[in-house]
Amino acid sequence: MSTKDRDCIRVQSIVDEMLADDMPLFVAKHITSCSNCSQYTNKLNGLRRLLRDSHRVTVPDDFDVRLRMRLQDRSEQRRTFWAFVPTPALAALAIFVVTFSIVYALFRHPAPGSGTQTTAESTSAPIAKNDNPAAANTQADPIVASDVASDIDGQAVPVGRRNSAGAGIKSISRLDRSTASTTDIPGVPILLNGEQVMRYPQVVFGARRVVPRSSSASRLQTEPSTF
Amino acid sequence: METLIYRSNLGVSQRMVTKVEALSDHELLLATRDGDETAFQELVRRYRNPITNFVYRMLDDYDKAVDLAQETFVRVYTSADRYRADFSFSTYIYRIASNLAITELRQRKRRRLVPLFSFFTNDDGEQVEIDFPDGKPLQDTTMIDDERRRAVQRAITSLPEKYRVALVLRDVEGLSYERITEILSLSEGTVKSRINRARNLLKDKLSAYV
Repeated sequence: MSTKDRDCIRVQSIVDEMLADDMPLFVAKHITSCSNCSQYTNKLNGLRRLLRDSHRVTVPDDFDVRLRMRLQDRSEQRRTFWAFVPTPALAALAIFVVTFSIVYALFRHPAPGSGTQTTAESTSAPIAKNDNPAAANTQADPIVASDVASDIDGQAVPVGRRNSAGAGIKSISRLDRSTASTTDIPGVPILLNGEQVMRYPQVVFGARRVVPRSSSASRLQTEPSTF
Repeated sequence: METLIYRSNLGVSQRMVTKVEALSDHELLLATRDGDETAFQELVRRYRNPITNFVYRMLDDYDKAVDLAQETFVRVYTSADRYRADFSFSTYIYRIASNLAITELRQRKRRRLVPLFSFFTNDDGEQVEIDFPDGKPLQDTTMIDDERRRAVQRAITSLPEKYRVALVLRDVEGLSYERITEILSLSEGTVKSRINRARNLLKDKLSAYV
């Protein structure tokens, strides 16, 4: 790159950065002797003048009045009830509600893979252990998740049934839509077709959960056997 | 007696006006923060035209420009407590205005607003405004000026958003590179390059007027 080219680049960058048409002496000297730079400068100055001298808009006469009204409106909005509640407090409250909801949901509907036992096994075992542990282990007919999956419509639900010897829950059978009592309440034993049965109270992923409520289970346990 | 009181009050307000006019932008904003309405009025008086003109150049929509200029002042007023004196006040207010203008441009892009003149194109395929044919020659200087003004505004509006804001701040509003880098939060090299690119695009579009 020759010295002249370098001067041209330097001069053009100076002309680019100028705000006014006044230019340093050495730039003016270079421009008079260099046609390229002269053309570049003239075009740029022409464009700049065109933009600078183009029509400038001014605000309407009622600008201040409208601005005052706008500020007034804005301040009135701030005076509403919610304005008195500080934003951090609202954020903290929202976080608390969300966290509580998540924790509550997790406790109420535990994940299916959280335990090694099936739910029926885990709940029927303690009941059977008090009466006849051996019988409970051998006679219990635990319902598994796959048994419930086919009845996900929520109407045909598994129920606990007492065995004839009164040794806790013997097996778990299912009621279909036609035989299910309309008055039974989940967790409360009822008499159905001569058998005391109970609707399991909780729900897992849209299907009825196969875990009997502990209070109901203990009631079953303490009641004298009528079968 | 009434005349005397009136004169006395006039004297006080006159002194207040003189005092406010002598204050710097920063001092005015501090006074606004303390609840001095006169100080805020002075700020509005100083910046209402430049800000409106700047937004108008960005949007090419006078009503919206006035609306956004007002919104700029509302934000200055409501967030006066959060103002930090790291930059000059003019940088601060131009930054608010440019952010509002850019947001508006993006919203328009999303809404796909079609300007009326976009349906019409000239022989070069450029969009042109509706221009009803007029048999009379353009002899009136006002009309020629008006035509040039429209051509300049059309050319500015046709620039991409990032080039437009830099060029308007530099060549229309006459701000320094340093100020523009602060307003746009960009490096000086990026600002210079964008302005240079915008000028080259404009030179082509406005070759008939340059």
